[in-house]
Amino acid sequence: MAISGRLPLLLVIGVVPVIAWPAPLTVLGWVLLVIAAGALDLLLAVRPDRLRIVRELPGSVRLTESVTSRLTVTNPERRTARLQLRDAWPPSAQPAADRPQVVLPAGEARRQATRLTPTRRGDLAAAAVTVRSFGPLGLVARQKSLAVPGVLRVLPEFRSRAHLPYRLARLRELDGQAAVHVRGQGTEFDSLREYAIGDDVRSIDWRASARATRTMVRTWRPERDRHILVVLDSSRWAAGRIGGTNGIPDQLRFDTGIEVCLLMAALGAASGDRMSLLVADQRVRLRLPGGGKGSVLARFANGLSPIEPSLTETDWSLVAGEVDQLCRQRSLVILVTGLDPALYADGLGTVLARLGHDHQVLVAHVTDPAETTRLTDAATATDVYDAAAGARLWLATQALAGRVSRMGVEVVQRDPDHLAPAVCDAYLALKAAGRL
Amino acid sequence: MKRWLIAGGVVLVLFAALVVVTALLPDSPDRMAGSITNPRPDGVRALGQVLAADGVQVTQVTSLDEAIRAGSGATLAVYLGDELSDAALARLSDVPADLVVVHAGGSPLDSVLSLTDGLVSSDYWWANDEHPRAGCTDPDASAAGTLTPATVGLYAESDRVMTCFVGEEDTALYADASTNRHRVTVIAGGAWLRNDTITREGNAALALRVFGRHPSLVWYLPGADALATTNQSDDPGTGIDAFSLLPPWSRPVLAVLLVAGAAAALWRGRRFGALVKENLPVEVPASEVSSGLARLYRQGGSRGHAAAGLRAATVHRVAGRLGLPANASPELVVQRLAEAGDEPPERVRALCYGPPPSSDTDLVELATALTDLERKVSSSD
Repeated sequence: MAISGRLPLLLVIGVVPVIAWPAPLTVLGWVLLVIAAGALDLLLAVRPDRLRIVRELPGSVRLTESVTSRLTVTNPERRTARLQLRDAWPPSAQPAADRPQVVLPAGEARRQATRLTPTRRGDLAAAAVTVRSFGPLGLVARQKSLAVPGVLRVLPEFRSRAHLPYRLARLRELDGQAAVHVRGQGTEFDSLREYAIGDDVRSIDWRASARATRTMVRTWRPERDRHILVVLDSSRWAAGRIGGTNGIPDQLRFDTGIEVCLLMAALGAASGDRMSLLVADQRVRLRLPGGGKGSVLARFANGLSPIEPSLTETDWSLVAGEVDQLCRQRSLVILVTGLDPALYADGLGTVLARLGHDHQVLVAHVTDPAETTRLTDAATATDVYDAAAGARLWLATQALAGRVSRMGVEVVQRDPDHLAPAVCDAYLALKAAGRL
Repeated sequence: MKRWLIAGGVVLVLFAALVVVTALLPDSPDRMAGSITNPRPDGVRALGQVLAADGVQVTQVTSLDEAIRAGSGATLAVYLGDELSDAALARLSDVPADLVVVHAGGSPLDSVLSLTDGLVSSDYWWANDEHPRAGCTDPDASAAGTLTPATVGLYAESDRVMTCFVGEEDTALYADASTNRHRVTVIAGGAWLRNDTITREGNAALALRVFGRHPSLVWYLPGADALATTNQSDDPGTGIDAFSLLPPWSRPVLAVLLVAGAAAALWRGRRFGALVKENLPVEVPASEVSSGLARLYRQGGSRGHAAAGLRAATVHRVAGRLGLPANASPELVVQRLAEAGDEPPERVRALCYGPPPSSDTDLVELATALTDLERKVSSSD
């Protein structure tokens, strides 16, 4: 039960008869009269659980975009319902708190929209729908919370999609769609065509020319149908919060890793490679083998959106076993993890050595912008010690990066905003060099 | 956190309610000065218990209606701390029982005069005598012999009054007279029959004889219904009903507004459905390792270690820019840095390979100089 503002107002109006007949009985009489009116109103109100409520909700939305959750309320009773509805969502969905009173004649249906602008990635489950059903006087309402289930999947923002067009143009250059028909490393035979003036004479296929009685040249294109596996570390390292300074948005390292996965998915799919994804810490959190149906980008985004990092260490031997299962052929394995001496000693080192033997490995390491800030002139002793500690850790990472590079592993270290495009550039460079 | 707030609020409300209830409740007679059931030093319980043991039926009343029920053959003791109203005085004068007036306070001058039909008046002063003697023929007073003195004195306005313990200027502590309805005994001061003073001088003898004249004693502590409210000019807050100044409908209207306020609280306080919880992801500050290491350096005062880190990082950063190999010798590094940064080689050598700084100030200077050098080298090309 809930009362409206009219009830206290009605009680205040009772001042008029009380001034006319100032006696305790008048007060009591007026209060009893209001209570009786309220009770009557409550009896005449339509029961909320008799209403039929259906929810319409899009399946997913990208972070920072808005969607509308629509509730359709049908009144099957023979009385008019006066309703107020609250479509409750978790606070991060930022539901608009606009709850107009709806007058719903018997047998009719109305629709109420709630605009949601999620601020957090993952699955958002709708909480209960609370209905206030007022009586004809509008004094008292029956209130009840009804379960109208609905789940909205909030996909990652994919901020780095702005970097995609340039990488796709680079890819087209490599791909032979642009006028680069040079035979070399990292290319495979594409087709034969008639010689045109300007073609490299070295690409003339004499055997085909003899057969066709015209001069034929071979055309080349970069390798296709390579297998690329992105391994995303969701351990304690990924739960680190970075950014918030120098215009770089406040985010988790895991979010940066997701950007890498999504940009690589878009680029890899466009270049015709098979994309696989593995997210793991102590256990495998997500395993998406390549070659599935539908858009790779959509599958990756959908699979990654509900995953949050956990406060555990990564089981690197488990990761190595999974990589062996996912990669039957020589593949590009992109490890999004920290180049940290502690992590390295924890098993990353042995895994890198083994994987580097079988596959081309690329380690993507996101740097914390806070650790690379330079000292200003007005530095205090605390700042200097902070800088010294940062320098020590940076040196350790550089030493590790050098050691890993000598094993034939590519290392990409960038700040959160530039890591995803940098990994894509490294991938394009590897592709151009035929090292996939 | 919220649960604690609610619990604290409940405790606070209960405490406030307790304070309000205590303030509204009337004082128990057991705590009032001059009460015959009060066991504290300012009470008179000792006298009451001894009288009861002697077979006197002792009752204490605080309302005028009960007090005037005392019949003949009883003693009505009036403990006067304040002036009584005229109506109360008139009714007390008609009581058939004998009166014993304890003139305890300083102010009830008119009451004493009125209760004795104008036979005895009182004054604010008695004498400087520490051990007054009875000096009269009254059997009760002479049996006591001496009495604890009071700060007020009594005057006899007529020959029919027997005064005892007479001090200077004919003021007395004890006055006994008979009106046409009953016998009235007035004793000045409340300091002689209290629990802490009753055993001194002849106090006990006088009290037991005076209050034990009859087999029944009614001890009257005047309550609010008998006290005079003539002192309005001094304290307008007491005794005057604020509603008497307002229109007659003010009380009912206030009641209506209170009920409406409660309804408004219900209206605003009812939540529109339950709160929804938010699942928050785990987060760790990414720089926790770095800041922890920095604090360790600072606490341990490892300036040399910190300086070595800063120097190595600077050399490492500029090495790539200057085309230095990873295993370059210090001489080569100093030479290249001095060329690129346009600095004397000695200074560069002291910066990059000098002794560790001896104080935090030196460390800060070194760090700032290294940053400057790096900036110069970076901007030179």
